[in-house]
Amino acid sequence: MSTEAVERRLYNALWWAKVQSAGPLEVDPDTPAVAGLTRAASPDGSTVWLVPTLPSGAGHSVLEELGAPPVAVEQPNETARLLAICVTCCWTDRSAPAWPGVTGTLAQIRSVYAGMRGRPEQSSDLTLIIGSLRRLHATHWIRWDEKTAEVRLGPRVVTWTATDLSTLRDLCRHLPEPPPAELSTRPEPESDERQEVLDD
Amino acid sequence: MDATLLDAEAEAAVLRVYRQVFAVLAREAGAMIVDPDLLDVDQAILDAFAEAGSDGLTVEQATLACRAYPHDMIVRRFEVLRQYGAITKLVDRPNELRHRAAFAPYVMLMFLRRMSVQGGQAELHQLLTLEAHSVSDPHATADEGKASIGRMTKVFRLLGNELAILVSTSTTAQLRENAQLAWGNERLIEQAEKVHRIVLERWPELHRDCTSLRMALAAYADAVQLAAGRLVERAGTTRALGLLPIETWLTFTRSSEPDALAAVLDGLLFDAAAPDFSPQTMVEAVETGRRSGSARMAPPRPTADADAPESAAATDREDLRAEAERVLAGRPEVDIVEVVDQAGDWITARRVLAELTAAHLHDELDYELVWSDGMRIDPTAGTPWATEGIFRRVAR
Repeated sequence: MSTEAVERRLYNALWWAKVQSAGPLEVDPDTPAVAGLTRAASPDGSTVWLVPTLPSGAGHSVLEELGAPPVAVEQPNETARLLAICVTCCWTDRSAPAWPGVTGTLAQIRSVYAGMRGRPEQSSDLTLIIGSLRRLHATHWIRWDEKTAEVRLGPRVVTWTATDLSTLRDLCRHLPEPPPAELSTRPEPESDERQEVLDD
Repeated sequence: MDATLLDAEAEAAVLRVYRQVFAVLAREAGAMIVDPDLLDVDQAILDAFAEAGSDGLTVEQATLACRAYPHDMIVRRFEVLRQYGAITKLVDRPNELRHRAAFAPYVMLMFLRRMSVQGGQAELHQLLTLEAHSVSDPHATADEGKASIGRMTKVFRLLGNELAILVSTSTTAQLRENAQLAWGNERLIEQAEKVHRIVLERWPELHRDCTSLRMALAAYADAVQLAAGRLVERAGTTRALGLLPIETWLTFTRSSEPDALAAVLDGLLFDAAAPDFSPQTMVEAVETGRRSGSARMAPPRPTADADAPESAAATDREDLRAEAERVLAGRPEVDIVEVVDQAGDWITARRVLAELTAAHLHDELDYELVWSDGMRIDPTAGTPWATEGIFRRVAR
């Protein structure tokens, strides 16, 4: 094996070890490609997420098939519902892939949540919503900015296949339509930012 | 019919060997063993006789030689073997204690051992090789070739039939247990085709028998394909790699050394363990969330049910009354022919007539539609044929 190949393997192994311990990684866009990792450029292009490429058929469904328990999460149903709502709010161009999507707001999420429940918002809802958003943020399903109360889809959504996306498209159609986003002050105007995201 | 004493004796000799051969499989006279461990006992007894030399053994000596097994079990097996003639008295006379063993049962035992390991596949391979030898022998005749082809046809038909029946009728678990029927099928078919080729080249007149062999081989190959297809289809994505049952995989993952596990996953990357949200789970979660939401909705008010039909009926009634009044236009009664002519064409007229009829039949409306016998015929009118009658207001 040539020295170059050895170095290549070492380089890959290093990144693999990092991903195995920490999950998806946000790195500088100049980082060379790593085998077995999918690159997901963040909307503004300043960073790149490295997400493991799962071999087809080797996802979490295998655990189910083997009867092994999946990784536990608190309030799994509530959290899954919140992820669905985040997808509705952040995935506006349903013909494009879910990543990177646009920025959604807490107000949108609360409105869709109440609509899904079919009743006016209750005081306990916000606690549930924030808790679920934090859990999803910690596992890289979404990026939740607590200070500005804004949410984006996380890098893990790049692993959704075309089949998954069509299921989600149906799901979004069944959920109430979110109100237009009123983003907090940003360096660039809202419409421009939206356009730029779609260009990516 | 011309069975001579000599023939009878030859048949008896063959039968005697059969009895000896199957002695090792007999549980007692007339039944088969159900416990494979008994074969070990048989083997121990026959081993003891082999060691004993030409003096033979008494029952006591045999049990002593096989003391690894329970005494009464040895005695019982000894008795069974003796009944089948696998063990006979050294000299056939009363009170003879020494016995000798025949060699045929031991051969059978060897054969059974091999069968139990390979399910008969190895034997089939060897038989096929032997067939190939015999048909390539320069002294072989066409009849021998024909017999050889016939035997192989039967073997492969039996194999293929068993497998095909299993595929169509049995459960996946049963099929998996019998998977050895499908093992090494390519080599088997290859060998059979080799014999087939040799025979066809040497004796072209046997083409008819060769055709049936080819058909049997094709049927067997099809059955193997079907069986493999069904096993793979039922095995799911994780087990499509091999035909192992799920428990085997779980045992493997639980009992393997880290190195073995690492070797399996070499080249696959999984990130830190994280909860998964597949779109299916999201759909289910949203559906259950929505259901719990709708359950909390306020129940409908009881009066709402009764109100709606009442108002619909009232609207209907008032519509009919308005139409009747429009037709009457303040008069107490009106001629139907006039109404029909006013309506113009028949399409409109029949709608007006339907409403007048409805007003006539309505319980709460005081109108009446009375038909008379006359008929107006006027080719120039919108509706040339019109039955005469009157529509009028009545007091009830």
